Amino acid sequence: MDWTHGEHALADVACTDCHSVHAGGKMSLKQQDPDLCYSCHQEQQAKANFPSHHPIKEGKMTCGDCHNPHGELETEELARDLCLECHSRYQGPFVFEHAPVEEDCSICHDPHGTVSNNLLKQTEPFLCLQCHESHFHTMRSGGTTASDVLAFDANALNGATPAGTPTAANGIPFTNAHGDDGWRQAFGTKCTVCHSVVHGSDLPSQTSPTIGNNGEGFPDGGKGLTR
Amino acid sequence: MRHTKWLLATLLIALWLPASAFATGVNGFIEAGGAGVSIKDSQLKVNEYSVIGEDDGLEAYGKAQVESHGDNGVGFELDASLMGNRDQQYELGFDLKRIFRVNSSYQSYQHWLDHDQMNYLDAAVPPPVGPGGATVPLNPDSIPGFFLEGSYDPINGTVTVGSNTAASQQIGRASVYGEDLTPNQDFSIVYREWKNKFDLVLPSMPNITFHGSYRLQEREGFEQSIGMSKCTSCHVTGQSREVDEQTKDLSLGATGKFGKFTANYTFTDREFRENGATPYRWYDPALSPAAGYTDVNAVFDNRILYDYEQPGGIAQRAYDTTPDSDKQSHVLKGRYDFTAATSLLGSYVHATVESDKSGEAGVFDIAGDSLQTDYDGYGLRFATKLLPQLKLSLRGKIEHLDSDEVAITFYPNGTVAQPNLGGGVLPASITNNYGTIISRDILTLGADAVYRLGSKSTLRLGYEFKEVDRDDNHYEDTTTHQVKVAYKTRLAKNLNARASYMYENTKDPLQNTDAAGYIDPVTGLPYNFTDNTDPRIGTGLLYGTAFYDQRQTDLSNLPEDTHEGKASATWSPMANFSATASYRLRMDENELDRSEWEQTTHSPSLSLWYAPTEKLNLTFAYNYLGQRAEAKFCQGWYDG
Repeated sequence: MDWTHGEHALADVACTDCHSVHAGGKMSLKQQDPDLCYSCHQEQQAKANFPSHHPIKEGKMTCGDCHNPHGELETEELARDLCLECHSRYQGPFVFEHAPVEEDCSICHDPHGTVSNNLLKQTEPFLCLQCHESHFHTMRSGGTTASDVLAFDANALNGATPAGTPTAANGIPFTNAHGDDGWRQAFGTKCTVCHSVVHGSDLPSQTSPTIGNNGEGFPDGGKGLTR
Repeated sequence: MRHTKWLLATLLIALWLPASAFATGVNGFIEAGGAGVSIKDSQLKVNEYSVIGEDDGLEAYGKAQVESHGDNGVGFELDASLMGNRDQQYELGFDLKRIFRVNSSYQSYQHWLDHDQMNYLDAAVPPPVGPGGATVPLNPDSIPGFFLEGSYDPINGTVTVGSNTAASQQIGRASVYGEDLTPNQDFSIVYREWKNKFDLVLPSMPNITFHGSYRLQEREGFEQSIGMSKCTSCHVTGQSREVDEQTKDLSLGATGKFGKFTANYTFTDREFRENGATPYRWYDPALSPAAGYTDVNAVFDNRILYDYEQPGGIAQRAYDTTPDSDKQSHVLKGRYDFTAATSLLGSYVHATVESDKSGEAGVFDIAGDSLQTDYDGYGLRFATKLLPQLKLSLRGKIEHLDSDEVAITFYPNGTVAQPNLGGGVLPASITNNYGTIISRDILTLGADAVYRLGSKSTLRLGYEFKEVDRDDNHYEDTTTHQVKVAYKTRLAKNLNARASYMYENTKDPLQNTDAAGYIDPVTGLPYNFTDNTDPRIGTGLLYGTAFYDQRQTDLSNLPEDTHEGKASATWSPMANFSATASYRLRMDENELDRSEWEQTTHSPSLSLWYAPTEKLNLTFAYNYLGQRAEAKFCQGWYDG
């Protein structure tokens, strides 16, 4: 219905560039999708072979699942709505949003394929650092002294008497293998270890919003996308 | 849906019998064999989508294709591929004299997922340093997180707390630590999708095609779910999370052709549900400086919303939940063909997404029981030929997105004084209104002209204007101008070439304003801990309120200016051979306020295609992708 305005029409692609009246295949195509598409879009072919990719080369998807060769994308809405057809878990709306998720998935992801995991344009934390300041803890020098009992968690403390009392018995052995670099590694390796629900959440982070003595405090508490 | 293959098989037999009676010729093939994959390490690395086999070793597989297109107008097609229990593909097409056409397909496959062992999550507070040979008092000021006050001998590394031994004390105690609670589990999702669509043309209304579709997609399996407790200490755990997602899409509509006017309407209803068990985790006790770091039941600086036993004695809390949602959309399109070369196309789209929400007793309340997003899009396109060799295309689109703002009332966990916030005590509840970035207006205008230069060449000129007006001022409004020039020519009988250039200028692309960096207004230097020129900087202990609230540097990964050039040439000396060479150069840059970056991308490629026989295609392709980015902005990071 919309061939005239599509990219192929404007690029002067003719019907016979893809179809042959003598071809016996589906829709009289000269080759099948994606091989036919790759004959012009070599870079997309290369990306489909990157470590992180949609299952096109495995035969589980085709270019035509997202692109209409006679028009544009297979959606009449925003480009992100095309992604949400399969990745509906990110449809929201969420109580606590992450701005680029609501704007355009391609701000962080390249759907054609990437070297980084999860079709991310960059590896963590560098992708996140393009829009966010690094955690100030990364500048901290860590302790290196060994000890038998250095950590505890609620699982261990729940049975303590009185409840919640930490002792050597209910603590967790902890070896600080990274020494001085412990803080840098912990806070500078992967942001989504703590901010694990970066696509949005309905549950508040553990930090409460507060009001400081200057009237400002931390009004954004709860929006950390950690839960 | 795991029984869908049997339903499909039954359907196939049911359709096969009458179809085979009509069919005058049947073609097809059956293929059977074995395929194997050797997996010594991780499925994710060598068999992410289980395309060769689902498990280590050799497995049998089968494929079949049958088709018939009779002279009587009845046709059917069947494709089947069975690579394993979780790797199957079936497709059935049936055509009854173009009156009723139906297509049904089913596919399943397994996607292996990452498992993060989290072995980089070890960080501890360093022990205090005292004068040589002297013991150092242990208190919250020297080592946050000590359970009991005492003293530390840095020479001998011994701790004295009353009569307690050192064994229960914590020198350099863990402040960040990770636990992989399922270290040996493999995570994967089995994806299943059943798609059905039909077209119906009633002989009494041959100009109208009724169409409908039904799609059922399932994702089932387990993925890693990571969560953290905050302060003190930061405890990260990874565990298994069940995934059982279901998306149902039902579409109904019609396309009618009335002379020069064509109209299309489609209604779609989507239901998304997550049926998997909700993951829960303990939120560790938070140690409070207000209580001298000695009481695990005290509240950490009054900034904790919940922990492992408060409020209400709820020991575990849900996390990493996926909200259910419902979506309805209406798409109406109309096209009027004035002549063969002049047409006007209009479209209207209305979509609504709704998701139920609820608060959590004692933690937070939400005003309202659901959130809703509305989308309205109005499009208009016009195409004509101004001259026999000049095509003109104009387009415009107005999109309006509106989503609910949300008022949330938080109930902080306790009301002890906050030393870092001037000793004030928080009210029992705090209500904040949260805006949404979803709400915005988008205007897009575009024009393209394609000029045919003789019989061998075409020249395209294009321009697009786009403006995004966001309701949330934090992200600013964005205006984009894009210009395109493309040239296509046939250099020789078997040699085609294309070249294009694109320039895009964007004013204020989506950015995180005031995301980083504080420049002292008096010294003009970045913030440091000894800077006392601002009464709120350096004199207090709280880095957050002193620094975060006064950041001035904008950050964005989207460019302000983009130049992109492409060139490609294809040589086809024979019908079964072609060679294509291409090169793409792209330069992006953004001069953000107080930070700037630029990125250059080179991507040459070479592709050779040869088909020695009709059934055999060989492709050799090489692509190089080189990208260099330089940011003139410094962030505290690893040493060196």
